[in-house]
Amino acid sequence: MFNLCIISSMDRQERIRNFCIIAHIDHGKSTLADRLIEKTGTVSKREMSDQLLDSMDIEKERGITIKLTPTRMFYNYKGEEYILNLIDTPGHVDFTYEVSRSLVACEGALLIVDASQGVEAQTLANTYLALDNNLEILPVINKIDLPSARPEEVKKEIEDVIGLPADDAPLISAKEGINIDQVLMQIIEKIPHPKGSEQKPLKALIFDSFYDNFKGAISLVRIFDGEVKVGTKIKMMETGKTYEVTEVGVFTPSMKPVEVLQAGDVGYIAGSIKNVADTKVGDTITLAENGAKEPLPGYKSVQPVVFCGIFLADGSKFNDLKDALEKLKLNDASLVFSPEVSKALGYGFRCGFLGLLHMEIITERLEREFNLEIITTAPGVNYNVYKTNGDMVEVTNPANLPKPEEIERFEEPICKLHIYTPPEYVGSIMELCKEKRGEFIDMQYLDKMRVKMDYKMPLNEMIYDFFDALKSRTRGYASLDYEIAGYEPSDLIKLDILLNGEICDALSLIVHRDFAYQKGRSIVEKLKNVIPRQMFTIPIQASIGNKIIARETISALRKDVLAKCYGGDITRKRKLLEKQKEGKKRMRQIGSVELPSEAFMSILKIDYDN
Amino acid sequence: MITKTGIYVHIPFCESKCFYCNFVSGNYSDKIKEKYIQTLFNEIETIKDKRTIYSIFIGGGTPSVLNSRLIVNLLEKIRSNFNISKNAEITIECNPNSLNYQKLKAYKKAGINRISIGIQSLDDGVLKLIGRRHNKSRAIQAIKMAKDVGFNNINVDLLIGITKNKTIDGDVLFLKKLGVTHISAYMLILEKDTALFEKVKNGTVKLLSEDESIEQYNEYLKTLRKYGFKRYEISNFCLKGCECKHNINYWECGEYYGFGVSAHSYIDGVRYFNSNNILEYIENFNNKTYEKLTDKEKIEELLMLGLRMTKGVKLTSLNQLGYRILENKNALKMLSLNLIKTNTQRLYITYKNFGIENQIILKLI
Repeated sequence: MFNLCIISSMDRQERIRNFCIIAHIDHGKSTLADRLIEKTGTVSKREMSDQLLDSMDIEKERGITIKLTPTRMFYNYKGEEYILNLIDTPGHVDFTYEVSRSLVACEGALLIVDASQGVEAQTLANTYLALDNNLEILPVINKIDLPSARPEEVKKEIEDVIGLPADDAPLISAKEGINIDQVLMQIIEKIPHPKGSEQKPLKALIFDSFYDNFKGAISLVRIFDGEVKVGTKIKMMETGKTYEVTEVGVFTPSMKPVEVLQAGDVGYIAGSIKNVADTKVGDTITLAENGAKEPLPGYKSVQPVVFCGIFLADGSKFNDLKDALEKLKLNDASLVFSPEVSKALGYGFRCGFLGLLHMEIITERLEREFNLEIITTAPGVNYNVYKTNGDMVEVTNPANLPKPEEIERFEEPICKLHIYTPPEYVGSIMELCKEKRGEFIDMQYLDKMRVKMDYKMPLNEMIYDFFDALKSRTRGYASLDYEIAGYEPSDLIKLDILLNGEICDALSLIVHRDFAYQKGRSIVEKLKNVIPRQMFTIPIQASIGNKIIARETISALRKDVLAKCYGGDITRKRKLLEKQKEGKKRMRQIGSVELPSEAFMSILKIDYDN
Repeated sequence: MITKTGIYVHIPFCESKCFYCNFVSGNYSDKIKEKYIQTLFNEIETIKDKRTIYSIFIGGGTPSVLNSRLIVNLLEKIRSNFNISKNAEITIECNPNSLNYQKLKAYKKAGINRISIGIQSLDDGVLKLIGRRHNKSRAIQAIKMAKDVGFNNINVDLLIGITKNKTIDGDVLFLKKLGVTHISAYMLILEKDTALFEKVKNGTVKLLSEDESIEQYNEYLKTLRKYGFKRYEISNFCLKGCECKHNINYWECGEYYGFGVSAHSYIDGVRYFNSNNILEYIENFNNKTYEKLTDKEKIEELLMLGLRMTKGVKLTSLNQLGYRILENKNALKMLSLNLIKTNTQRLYITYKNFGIENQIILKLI
């Protein structure tokens, strides 16, 4: 790529376009990326597997992109050869910070809007992020092949809602490969080329990182100034650590070593770095000696906001769980975990995540990739608990709360919600937000089709099942974005669940006082449905302190085996017994009560629809 | 462990299939019946073991649908190959429709000393619902005939949990007066792939709920005890001294030979069983499935089967396999809760906890 300059007098950087794609889930981001790759001949047809850039199975199955894989493409346009660097972005609120770093690495963005569904909250949130970063935004209207497509209206929506001119937005079908050329043309003509200085000291932005078994932690970078090659001594400006570069390269989309990365390029840097925690997303890489004085702006250390306990259904493989978490951590610096002991569940870990989706992905990977059967406790947030002696403790596990008499007050994390919905659902959304302790801030009619509602809500309420409830009450039409907005005082209490008179620590929750009765009631009802009848009558109770606020009873098992059993039945019966025994192993013994794994999950989702 | 050996012979023929039945049974042509009996004889001949046999059970299916001459020949065949104890218990299963004086007399002459009649119910509505061909009066007649011919050990099968029964007390007393000495009262288990399962599924038949069945079962328990039918196993009740030796042998993990389609044998710690396809059995009765039990499996079976009996399982048998009850935490807990008890020789489930036998065993194994 570096001999391109010979062909014409164009500057090297003038031939580069760095761009990303902004889209709502399902609006076709990955499909368009695949088409672009195909069209530019970056990957031969034979190598194309659908949605090339989403590498993890889970991403493919859910059709969402979590991890970003950048791709370098060559494209000839009007007799000149261009390099197009596509930086894919995650499409979920949990990963807003990662998205923002990816945006910073680009000069432009394709904004994909579904021709029938129009602009959605997530798109809007990321578009604003892109605008904040001065990106050139090119609207692209996708899925025009669908009968329900209404491209003209959607164009108008883009202009009205986002304020972007959309007149000459390409009307495409990524799936059918229609008008992909127009997209490529606009990328070259409209997105500015990088304007860094090759002479200045190296400044490279890390917009992602991952762990490679042979090369160590790899930084995915956009070079803003200077250059980097094998042997360059580099410094991470946030951590201050220095390394010698062992490899630089680009993504095709597979990793391909090159001689040098220069201002304007997108690629990767390896340097025998042992830990992805040392290649922090948002950090700036410069030279170890005579490096840049100031890092690139915008670095933020990523804090987990959702916490839960992870335990094994079969308590014996604690070390396997530890190894698995450590392996996942290699590639995911935002995952944090520390050992935890539960009376009910034994040894496990308290884990912190960027959000619920992140949590689900990690737990799913633990089960699938490491074959572990795990139990997760109800997700919670980090509370600030002020004690009467003036101390403040941070609590993520209800079991670690100080005694009630030692607690002076609580503070809980608050988030700001932005909900976009067709007007007819405004009423039911308001009702839902009220149930979730939401505080109304503002409402705006964006146009006849769309209302934007802003709410303040405790993060704890948001993470349970708010998104699902929102979707179900608006028949999928509403979309949601949120940001963390600090801590606020709150009247919280600990809700305990007692099984056969004993507190089950893994089922305890921190809840708002006004909702304690309702929650206690629905949890005991849920548990009644998932706990099988056993040898004894089992009372299930919810309590606050010593006060029982709800109770259900599981009556004892009576008919179990009153059938006959003679010679021909014995083998079959024994095998059945062995199978039941195996099932029992997966039950957790809490005092004299056997609890199936689902019990811990069932309390996560309390149905508010009834 | 000294065990007594039994013989089970399976006769898979019936006049028709009852709605709840998932046994290997059915209505076959005379030609197949003949071939089957011949195969049965061939299979019996292959066993050269001369150990003493303490019980024979001819079950089915409905053995009484066969010509009684075949039953007589069958017993002759067994006697010529095995050493049958003088006091051996020899049982044949019959249904009320196929019994007559001639057959009963032949059975008696051949040495059969126990008759088991599948009357299932004394309610014509119930009998119809579950696809039995006989009715109440026919059932009574069958018992009377057996008694007339001189059978002093008569079992009847009763099915529980179908529809409400307001005459339990009268039924049991009546059966006792007719000369019934043993009652197998078992809960209907709705097995998949049976006609009844389909009927319940599509709503044409409504059975008692679990709680109603339990209630009915408990009423049977009470009534049977009242009339002297002692419960000696989960589903088996008898007058003093009339326990079924053959079945006790199963529950004590004794040894047995099984002959015929789908029949199971348990000899020298190996369980093996025949194909459950009649034609395949006829073609090659030697095509058997073998399973050598590990000590762990033997312990499981000792507990699973032994605890079905009110007297329980022998502690020495468990000890011999290395299972010590007092070293089992769950056992100690259940002992303290009076779910199970021990005496000097046996571990047993306390009377009112039979309904949760399965849960107790799961805790013990």
